[in-house]
Amino acid sequence: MSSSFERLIMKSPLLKVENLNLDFVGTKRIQALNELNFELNSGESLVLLGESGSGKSVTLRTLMRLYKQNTINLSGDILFQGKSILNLSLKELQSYRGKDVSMVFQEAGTAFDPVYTIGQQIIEMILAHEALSHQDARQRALELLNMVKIPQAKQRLSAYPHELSGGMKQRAMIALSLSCNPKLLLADEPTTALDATVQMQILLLIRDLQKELNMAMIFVTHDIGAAIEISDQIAVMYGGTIVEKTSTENFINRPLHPYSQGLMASNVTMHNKGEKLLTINGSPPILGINSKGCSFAPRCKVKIDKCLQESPKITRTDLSQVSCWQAFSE
Amino acid sequence: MSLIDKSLVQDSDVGGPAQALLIVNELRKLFPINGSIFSSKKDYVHAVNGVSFSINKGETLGIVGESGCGKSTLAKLLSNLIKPTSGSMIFDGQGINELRGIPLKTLKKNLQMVFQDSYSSLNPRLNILASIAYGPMIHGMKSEDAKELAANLLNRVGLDANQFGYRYPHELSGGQRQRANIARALSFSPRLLLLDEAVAALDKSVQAQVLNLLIDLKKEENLTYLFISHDLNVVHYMSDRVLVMYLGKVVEVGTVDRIFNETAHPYTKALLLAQPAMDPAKRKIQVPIMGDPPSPIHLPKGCSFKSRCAHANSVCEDEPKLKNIDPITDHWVSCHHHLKD
Repeated sequence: MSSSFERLIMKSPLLKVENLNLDFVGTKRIQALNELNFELNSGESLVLLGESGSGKSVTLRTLMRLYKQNTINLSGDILFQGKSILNLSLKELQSYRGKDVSMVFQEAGTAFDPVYTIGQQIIEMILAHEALSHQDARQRALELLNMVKIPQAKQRLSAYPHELSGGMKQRAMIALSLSCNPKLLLADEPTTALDATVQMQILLLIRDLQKELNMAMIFVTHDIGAAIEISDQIAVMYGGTIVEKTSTENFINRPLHPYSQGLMASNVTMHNKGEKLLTINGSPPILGINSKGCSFAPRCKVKIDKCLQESPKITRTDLSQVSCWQAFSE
Repeated sequence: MSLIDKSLVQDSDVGGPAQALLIVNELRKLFPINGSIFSSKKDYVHAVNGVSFSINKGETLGIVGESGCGKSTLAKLLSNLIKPTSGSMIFDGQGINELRGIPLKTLKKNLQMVFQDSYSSLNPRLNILASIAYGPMIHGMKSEDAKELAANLLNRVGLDANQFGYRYPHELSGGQRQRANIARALSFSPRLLLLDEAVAALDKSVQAQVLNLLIDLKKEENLTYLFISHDLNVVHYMSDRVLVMYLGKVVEVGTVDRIFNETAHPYTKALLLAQPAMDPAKRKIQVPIMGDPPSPIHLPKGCSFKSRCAHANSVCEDEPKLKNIDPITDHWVSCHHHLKD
């Protein structure tokens, strides 16, 4: 009995997002997420790729339950290890955040508290979640700083955030988020604010640690290059929903959704010199304006009448999911 | 060639085609930082630390480098938004900021900028048509003519003047605002356009539209571009020549082909290697260089890149000078042991 139950747990994905809708309510009602559906298995790395306003960061923040209940209107469900996180109590939420799921933010400088040292903040996190002595926690913090390859880790434990460079701060942030061995790491554009050479250092660090610790990861970015560098799976977001989710190889070689195809075509690479760039006409949809049908339809080159009337259903193949009426009609 | 008869006339070529449009000589900008009021020693941020280069007529010079290397300070110096600590600039044979040089008002007509932040570079209280018409009016154009010019320019950059002209900056999307900024810069019929991370804040699909527009405009309007960006792919796409900056200094300058295919400076090499491969089969395994750039306040002695360089040895204690390593293509490098492989 129990073994079959375990098998059920093993089979079910670590994270399952079902028909998630999120509106921000206030003077204006803004629809930020629109019928979001995806699954994530443990140990997998998923990149949410999309332009500004496509709902990437909102997805992560919703997964962390960072929005106040009275500012949003939520429907659908988020299952983490088979359990809905939308009705966790405050206490359960505290152990869920940080221990089960933790997050790395874009601006490491503002994510740290400026009046405590890096060491104090990491130790506080460890002590909050685990029954360790202060000394053991300090030892763990030191190991963590070594793990993220911060030189002179011992001295850095007693450094304040402003004393570290941008790349170092982001490393410390990663150490902080990994301090309680989370099962799922959420990374919200952690390399966007960094320089090219430092960005690659951090990308490689995150990728290696994710594989080494066998965590699941959701990595949000708008940079196609970074996405390809770090992902097993890529989910392309547009207008608050995932329009295509597929393996990285598939995404590069055979993108199915017209928006993914457009993104790949309009991306400038070293091979484009002298050619005219292919573009997607128009600009991304303005949030808050609810339109009927597919949100990409106004910019789409292959749209049919149906696209303007009805929002597309998700089509699943063994490797990918696509929301487009035209994806398989060639 | 100009698309409108009612427009400011582009100033004529003074020095002939062989005269570089802009020559920059040993430009330096130090920002003082406030130390303790009792300390006698004053520290400076060496933002731009002895930069020399020239832009030829009709070319696009790309400037790349990491944040804090002085790219944007350089652009502000060139457009006279801030005064240099030392150094000189020559615009088409006429000195800038010197007696009997080019008058500032004439310079500003000839040299326009498009900034990264499209919102803060437009007046929030003027609709974009008025914003664009404002400059030509200052330069003596009648109000109706300036309005007509602005409408034509808006149409040219792909914004319907009737639909968008009377909107305020906050009513436009990022891409549309950047188009309005380009139209505003063009309203002076400038000869040199400084594009300081002009497409960095735009989404990928919109970025391609603006890049296409810039390339078309360059041909039509007989422009010269100075294109500043941290995105090597975009710089490669846009530029004829590329200049690489590190800690306020030029480390390498040459044609696009030379810089990207026969890279000579270890820093440029590292920048190129830090580019994502765009192919999961060819993912990076090793980090190209470790560490962060040093602080621009207390500059290291000798070569500024030596703390991160794999080739550094005792020679690097001396400061390297820019050397021409390929006189045919004019490829300059400031490194004691420039790489040949």
